[in-house]
Order: sequence, then C-alpha cells, then structure tokens
Amino acid sequence: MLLDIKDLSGGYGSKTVLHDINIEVDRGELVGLIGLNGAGKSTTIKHILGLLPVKTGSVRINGLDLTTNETEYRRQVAYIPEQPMLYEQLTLREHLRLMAQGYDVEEAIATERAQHYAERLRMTKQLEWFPSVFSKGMKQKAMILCALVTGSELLIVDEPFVGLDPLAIRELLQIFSELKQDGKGILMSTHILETAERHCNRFVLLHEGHIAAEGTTTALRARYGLQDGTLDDLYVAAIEEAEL
Amino acid sequence: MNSQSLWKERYQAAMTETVKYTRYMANGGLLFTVYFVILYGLVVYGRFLDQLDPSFPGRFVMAALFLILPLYRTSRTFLVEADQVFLLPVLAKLSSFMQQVRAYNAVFGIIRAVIPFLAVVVLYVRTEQTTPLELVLLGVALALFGAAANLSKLEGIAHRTVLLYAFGAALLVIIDMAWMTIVVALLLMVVLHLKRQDHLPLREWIALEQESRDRFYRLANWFVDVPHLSATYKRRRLLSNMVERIPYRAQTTFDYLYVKQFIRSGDGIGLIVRLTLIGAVFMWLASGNELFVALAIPAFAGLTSFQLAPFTKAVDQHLLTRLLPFGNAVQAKRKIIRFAAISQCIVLTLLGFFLSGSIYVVGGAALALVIGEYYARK
Repeated sequence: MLLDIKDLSGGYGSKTVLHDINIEVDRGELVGLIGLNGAGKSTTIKHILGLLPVKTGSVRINGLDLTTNETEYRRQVAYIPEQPMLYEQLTLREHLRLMAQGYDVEEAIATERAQHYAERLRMTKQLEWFPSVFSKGMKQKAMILCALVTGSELLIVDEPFVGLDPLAIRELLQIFSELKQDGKGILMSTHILETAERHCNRFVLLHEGHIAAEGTTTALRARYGLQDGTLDDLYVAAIEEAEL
Repeated sequence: MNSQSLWKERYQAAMTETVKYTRYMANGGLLFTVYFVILYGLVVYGRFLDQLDPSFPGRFVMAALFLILPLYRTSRTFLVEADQVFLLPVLAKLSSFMQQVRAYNAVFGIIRAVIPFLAVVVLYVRTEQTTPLELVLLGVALALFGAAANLSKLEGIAHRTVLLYAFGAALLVIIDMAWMTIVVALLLMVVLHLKRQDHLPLREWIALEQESRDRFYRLANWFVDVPHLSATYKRRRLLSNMVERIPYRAQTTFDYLYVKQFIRSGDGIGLIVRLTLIGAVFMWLASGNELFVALAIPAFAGLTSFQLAPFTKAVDQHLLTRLLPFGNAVQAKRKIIRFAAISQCIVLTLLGFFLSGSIYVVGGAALALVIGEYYARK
C-alpha cells in the first residue's frame, strides 16, 4: 500500500477535526477526496504532509513513517497545493532544479523531465520568469511542474484545476493517467465532481471529520440505490445519510 | 465617507502603526549599534571638519547633495488595496484628500532634505565665500527639491525630469551661482503644479503606498520581526549563473536556495555592499586617526553580520521549505554568513592598511572575524 492512513485522529491544537479515519491509496490508483467545505479534506492533507501532529493513529507512505525517517518520507510524496506557493526569488527553472535536487533526482533525468512537462503544460517560455509576473494559472502550472519533476511515488493534489485553462486541465488529467500506469498513486481533493467521476478510481467522502462513504462509483450507486446516479447524486445522498 | 474623514482616519492609522514600530525599534538591540555608528560618524566628521583645508571643494559636495537627494523618492498615499473597490463610488469627490496627501509628502520631502543640508552646510561655509542670504536660498532650494522628488512620484512625473532640474541646480552651485538654485527649484515646482493629477489615480497610488510601506517595514525589520513583509528581488544574472555551479546534490539543496536568496535580496549582498561602502567612507574620513580606522572594521562587521543573520527568514518561513526534503539549513546559512564576513573583512582591512598603515588594523580585523563567527553560530 502506497498511502496507508490508519485510525487517524487529528486537527489543530486541542480541536479535533478528524475522527478515526482510514484511507488507503494503492499504486496505480487515483483516489478522489471529496466533501463539503470544512469536512476535513485539507486537514487530512496536512497530516499526510506532516504539517500537523497526529493525535492517534498513523500515516505511512510506502511503509515509511514521518517520525522515523523524515527526509525519506518526504521524498515519497509530492504536493500540488490549492494556493500556489512559490519562492519569489527563484525563476521557474530554478524551482525545478531545487525540487529535483532536494528529492535526489538524477540531474539529467530532472532536466529531461522538467523540459518534457513544461512543454506539455505550455510553460517553456516561462522557465526563466519569476513568479511575480505569473498569472494565477501559470502559478498553478508551476506548482504542478514542481511536483511532477520530483517523480515521487505519491502525489497529493488539492483542487488542481482551479485557475487552469481547459487545455491544461485536459493535459493534467492525461498526465495523471500516465502516472497511474507507471505505478504512482494520487490522492486528489476536489469539488469538481464531474471530472472526478470520470477520472478517479475510487472516492473517499469526508463529512465533519468522519468518512461518510467510500468506494467506486458502482459500489456507491449500489449502496444508495441510485443505479444511474452521478457522483453529484451520490454525494448528496451520502451527506443526507450522514446528517440523519 | 467623505474626503476629510478618509484622510483623518488613514493618517491616524498610519501614525499609530509608525509609532508602534518605532517603539519596537527603540527597544531593539541593534539600536545601540546604530547609536554607536552615528556618534562615531559625528566624531569623525567633526575631526574631519577641524582639519579641513579651505581649498577643499565644498561646492562639489553641495552640488552632489542636489544630485543625490532627488535620486531617492518615496510617496505615501495612505490607500489600501481594498480601496480599488470601496472608494470607487466616491472617487470624484476626493480632491481634498489628494491635497492632504500632497501636503504630507511635501513636508516629508522637506524634512528629508533639511537634515543632510545641515550636515553639508557646515562644510560649505568653511570652504566657500558665501552670505547668510545665499545659504538660506540654498537651503530653501534643496528643501523644494526634496518636496519635488516626492511630489513628482505622486503625480506620475518621470524621474528624469526632476533629475534634469537637479542637474541644472548642481551646475549652478559648481559655477558659483548657488543663489540661482532657488529659481530652478521654483521652476520645477511650477512644472509639477501644471502636470498635477486632477483625478485620483487609484491603482497607482495604492501601489505607491505599498511600496512606501514595504520600505518602512524593511527598515523596521532590521530591529523587529515584521509580519507580511513583501520583498523585492533582483535577477543579478551574472552572480546567478555562478550560483548554478553549486554541485547538484541533495545535501547542497539549502546552499543553492540560500545563496540565490543572498544574491537577489536587498538583505543579502545588497546589504553587504552598502555597508562596506559606508564603512569605507567612514574610514576615509577618519584616515588621520589610526585607532578610528581600525575600529571601523569591527563596527561595520558587527552592523553587517547583525543585519545579515536573519536574511534567510523569507525562505525559512515559506511553506515549501517546511514541506520538502531539503537537507541541512543551519550549515548552509553559516557558510554564507562566514563567507560574507570574511569577504567584507578582507576589503575593509586592505583599505585600513592603505589609509593608515597601522598594526591596529589587524586587531580590528581579528575582532571583526570573531563578531562574524558569533553571528554565524547564533
């Protein structure tokens, strides 16, 4: 199992947001993490990234725990945040070198990978630019490139489509598909359910810090008795059931 | 909200913030170093004036002041980003607010001009044949240039226009027609008046305020931690290409990141160059006194290292830095502070030997290195 979250409870300070959640992402899987605002999606991501301390339970990536080997743990996971966060003092090319260097990617491979993905996301012209002159979409693409150049086994993606143009969205989904074929795992938090329905293998539906439902679209349809239901319908049904 | 209440509210808020940061700064440890440098400067300058040869070209120093003063211009407008939405309905009724902003910037520009004028005028009267009336006219002309520099930015007038008039005034000082500078200054004020903005240029003035605040925050940041300080970076292509030669290894990731920060930010290499140049000027002014020349080395090394120590803050506080497997940050930071301290020490020591030829310089250099190492390990 690539990502293995077991009985995780956590949150901010004394406030517990997540209650005994279990999430797994296997190699070759794209798992959609969905839920209302404040359901705990971002908190879950922060726990995976080691930004919040785990209260009870465990988070392991590729069998590694953050507390036992932090550097190796971090090298297993790359992150595409919802809000782009780039170093103002580095150009895009320098960001890509920095990321690859930190993740111990061989220099030749990093250069080739950076060029390849920059071309696909139409960012080659921007490689020597500073983030201060990027548009919102360009910043988002830069974050995607930074994550892709690492070649990490697990990709954590938070609302990746915000600010992207339709061509970039299509290309990104194609890249996700290729990464899955290469045996990488992806956990994607999103509100764009139509896209998620078409591209995710499974879904984890969070509600008020608990897992309200999980499984494939087929399994969820069977559970809620909505044979032709879209993910939107299933989402609403799951929320209604959780709030009963 | 009307124009008057907007001005009152914004001005009071700005003053409250300025007082708050000034209090923090007054309690900061660096202030003692600043006091020391100012006192040291006053003593050195006093001795320099005492030994001044009447043939010293004082008029060139005054002319240089006319050129240097308008090089730096800063304007406050007291507007915030949200104003581009919320002030739109009353935009046409803000002429009184604009006048208040102009008055503030003019007064601030005058104050900025008077202080260096007082420093230079004591040198000028010792070397030039002048009259009290001419000195007053010179002072007023310089004060007007100080005001004009700030106002020109406010009115969106090209910097080169102000510099051209300043160049004219400097020439008049050099050819011994200093009293005429007032005419040039008044002409410039007329130009500014004719080209003033009738309608409040909202976006431009908001940007000016942000720029001005950032300058103040950067200064305050020397003494206390300023949250949300936005920094500006320069590409510095040549140095940047040299940094690309840092070995590509996971262990040197922080070296790469910090060195880029160091060369591109005003808190890194820019700070060292500025303080080394100021130190060199101090040493030149004190060149008659071996002890003063030697003391300048640790004094400026201390001032530099103290301010350089937090240069990695912008990187350290960045979320990416916390998320990524970048290696050993402490060692990378120490390397840079040591390198900077040693480089500056070499430059100032060589200059010290050149100016005084005294053995005291070695003691000053040794002390400077100890101070540099202290801040590197801190």
